Amino acid sequence: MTPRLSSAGPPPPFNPRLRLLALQVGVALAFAILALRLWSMQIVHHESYVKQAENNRERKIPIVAPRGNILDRYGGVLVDSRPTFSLMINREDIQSEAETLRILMEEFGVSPELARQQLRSPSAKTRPVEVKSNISDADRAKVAVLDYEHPEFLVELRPQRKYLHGELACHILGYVTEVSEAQLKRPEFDYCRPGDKVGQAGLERFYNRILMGRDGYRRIIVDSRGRFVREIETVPPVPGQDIVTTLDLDLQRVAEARLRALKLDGAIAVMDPRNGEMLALASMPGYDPNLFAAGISRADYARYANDKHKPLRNRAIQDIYPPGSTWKVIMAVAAMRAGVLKPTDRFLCGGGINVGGRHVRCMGSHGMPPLPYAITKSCDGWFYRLGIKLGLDDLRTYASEIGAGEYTGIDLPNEFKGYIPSLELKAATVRRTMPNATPAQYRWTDADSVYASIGQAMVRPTPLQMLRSVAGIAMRGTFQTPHFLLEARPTHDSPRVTFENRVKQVELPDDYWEAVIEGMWGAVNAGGTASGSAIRDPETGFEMCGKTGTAQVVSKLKASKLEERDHSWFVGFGPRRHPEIAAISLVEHGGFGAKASAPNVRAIFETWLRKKKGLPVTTESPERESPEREAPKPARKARRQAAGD
Amino acid sequence: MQERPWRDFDWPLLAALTLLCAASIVALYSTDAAPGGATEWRQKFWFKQLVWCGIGYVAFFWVARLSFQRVFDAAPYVYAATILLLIAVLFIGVKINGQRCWIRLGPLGTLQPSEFAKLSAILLAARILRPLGAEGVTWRQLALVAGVVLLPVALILQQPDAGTALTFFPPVAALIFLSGISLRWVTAAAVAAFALGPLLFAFVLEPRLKQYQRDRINVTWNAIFYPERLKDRQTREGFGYQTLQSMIAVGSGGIIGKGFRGGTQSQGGFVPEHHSDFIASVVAEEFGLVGSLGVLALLLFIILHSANVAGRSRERFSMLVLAGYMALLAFHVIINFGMVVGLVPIMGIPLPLLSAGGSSLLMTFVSLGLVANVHGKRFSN
Repeated sequence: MTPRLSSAGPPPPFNPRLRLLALQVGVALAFAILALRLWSMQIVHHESYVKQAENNRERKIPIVAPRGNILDRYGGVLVDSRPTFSLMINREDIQSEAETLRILMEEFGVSPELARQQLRSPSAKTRPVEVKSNISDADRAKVAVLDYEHPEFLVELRPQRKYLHGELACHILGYVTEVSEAQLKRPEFDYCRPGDKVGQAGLERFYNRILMGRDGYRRIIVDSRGRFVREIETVPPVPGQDIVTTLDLDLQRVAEARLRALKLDGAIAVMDPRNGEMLALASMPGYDPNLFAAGISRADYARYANDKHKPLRNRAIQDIYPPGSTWKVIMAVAAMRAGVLKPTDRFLCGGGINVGGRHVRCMGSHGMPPLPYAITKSCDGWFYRLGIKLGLDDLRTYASEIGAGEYTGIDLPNEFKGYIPSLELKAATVRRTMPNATPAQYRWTDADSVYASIGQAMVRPTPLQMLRSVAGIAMRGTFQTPHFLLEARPTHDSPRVTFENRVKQVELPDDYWEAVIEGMWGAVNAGGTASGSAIRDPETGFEMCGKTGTAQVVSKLKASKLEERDHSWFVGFGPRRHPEIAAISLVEHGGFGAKASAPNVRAIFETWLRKKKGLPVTTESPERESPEREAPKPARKARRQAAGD
Repeated sequence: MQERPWRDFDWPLLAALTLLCAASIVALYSTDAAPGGATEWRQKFWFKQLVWCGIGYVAFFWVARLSFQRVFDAAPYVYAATILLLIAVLFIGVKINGQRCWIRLGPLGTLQPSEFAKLSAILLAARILRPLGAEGVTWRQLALVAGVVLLPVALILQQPDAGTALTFFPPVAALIFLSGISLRWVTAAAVAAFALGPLLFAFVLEPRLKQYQRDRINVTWNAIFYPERLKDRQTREGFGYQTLQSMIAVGSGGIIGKGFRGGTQSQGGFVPEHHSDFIASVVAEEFGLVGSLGVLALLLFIILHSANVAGRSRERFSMLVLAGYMALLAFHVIINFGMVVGLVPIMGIPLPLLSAGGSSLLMTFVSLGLVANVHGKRFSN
């Protein structure tokens, strides 16, 4: 039976209204707490929440500054930056990484490994990371379509480096890649941020700061999914400064063509001895810097890194070689500075010398000639005796004074210092080759002086050091710092930058310098070791002076395979009286200096002369060379040896 | 005594109710949200809310004119029907976010039986507790009430929806409290809760929590005591995201707010569920402290008013129903606002009258209709 509501029961044993009131008070208290909390948040801590709300929805999107162009000495563009579009991913906006990676793979062909690696990189924490560069219009359209569901995909305008001449001058120009994690920790890159593209070699590296410019940015408002809502402001990037180099592209082409034609590794460097401006610098083999600009693939990089010919290495400044007989010029000047040699002094050739219990021979028999003749004929016996007379200490002091085993100071990164003989070096050599050597064997001996005097044994300069030294000798004691920077062009907020040339003056009487130069003149023009490469130019009276070098790699008796053939050197300058150009050629395993290297320098000087006279320049094609200018054939080797190198 | 339906009608309640509905529609219109990202205006939450409000008013006036005797008679049947619905939802319900709480219902969207279960459980519990002996409530009554409450709670936990299940307890506690349980027992229960509560939580409840529940409790703990911890990346982007974003929305609103449609947090979609459980964050962001305290004050008015009406009721059944509903409404508001301001862990409890959702809105209208009903009859009977 349903009870009737109106039937009033007995009075309750408690007061329900009081209890209701208690409940009401409880509720009101809870509401008071809520109101207090609202007051605290909306009034007391209001500012802090406003800031958080702004950070929430503001994004700073960097606008990459275009790097400055690199120009040759006539203002022709060698390297510029072109706008390309890159596919970027913003990690913050990724909803599901698996889904993002799948779309990358299926729509854009980006491998998940690469994408994952980029997303794990430190730069991904602060800015979008690039997963594909140089994307097509179709890819850009896909990103636009995906935008609503996948705001993590972005298209960014990124200037990409373009090396207009491909491999030409690659070791001078260098290349760019994204700055590495390790580099960011070094003070040298303290101005860089993760994701920046920086120069990794050559001028790109050395003048990175000037070339890089300053990135701008766009501040935009986004919604919770990272979708663009509106823009707050745009700070445009400051482009990097353009760099004008001293490079002469015609000479560079000739130098590279000559080396390429020889199919051997080597280096050619050309400089103006009057001011240190580098006109050309070739190192073979080379690489294509455009591959790096586009983001080099692992395979390509491995190919370069593992190539035994070391294409990434700039042989002119990062490789050291025994200089062979080109060293004799240094020896002569060092001895004159030490006061042990006067231009009129004569030393015996004697067909060689007996030292340390064995006979070290000369390649000819030259009687008892004066200095110029000894240089012209490259008389070993003469220099053996000079070397013993000079001794180790003076050799060290005065050879390094004119730049041997010293940094040239060129404006390229990672230059090697090379080395010249020293007791420490001898000790290290002995320790390495003779584990049970007696203390006596660690001493510097006359035999060491003899080998060092002709640029063997412990003498290891870089080709550019040899060029700088000889150029200084050609200038009668004025040693310039080789450099490529003519100027960094000023922009509205950066001043013009030029190379700070440090000039070193070495004093000797005029006739002393003339004696050495006469010897080098004779080597090319008066029946010397490089007489096949003389330049006869009656119009200007240009005469090339120079010195050949043939550096033993292994003992002569064992030399048979290519890897064991001698290195071929030639260093020269011209004209004789007032030199305007100096060049060096080193050809690894090229054999005689006169054969593989002197013609290279001659070709460069001829090109330079043609340009000076305003004649058209064509890159000399090696096929036009006469057969006898080819690399030496073993059959003719013995006969040439008699004439010295 | 003559009935004076026009003069005795509960106009203040109707006014508060209407103001809150208006606030709800303004806030929903501002967010422009729609289920599943639909773009047609008829699909938007604000429009649906408007339609449900219309239905709600009809129900409100109908219930207000109803004889309470019929409510009393119908209580067991209503209860049985909602239990059947709760069972049905486990089988034919729509699964959203891993929970099976809704039954699809044509053009008006979905029906949430658990909302109806709350009221029907209060009605049946009130009916059971109405007869009062000389010693107050009997053990038999208590056992029956426990059964009445635990049955829907068990079914709702199957969905699973722990937050909704929790809402059944405050009304029942209020009903028992108002059924003359001696103050000794109340004191004992309070002491036990303080002493055993933490132990119970640490050793019984905590190990049974799901990881996300544990995380939410953690976040709340931090939000109250170590606000700076919310800013570390893992919390910020992980389980603390919703709480932090909601707090940013509320805090950045300031005194008068960022204006209609001016809320960067709400408009940018930074606060998930800002149309339903987190609608208060939209009000607080766009209308500031003025708006949030205004809403809070209106809700408090309704709650206190319901209690007053209950207190003036001439008989126990309607008094208990109204008091139970008062407790339910207060619990909803406190928990929901607590969630929005980071004082309470996130659980799926809507803000009555403001959160989008037809079932909740309709139940609120019906319940307030009962309040108006009792109010209208305070001089009769």
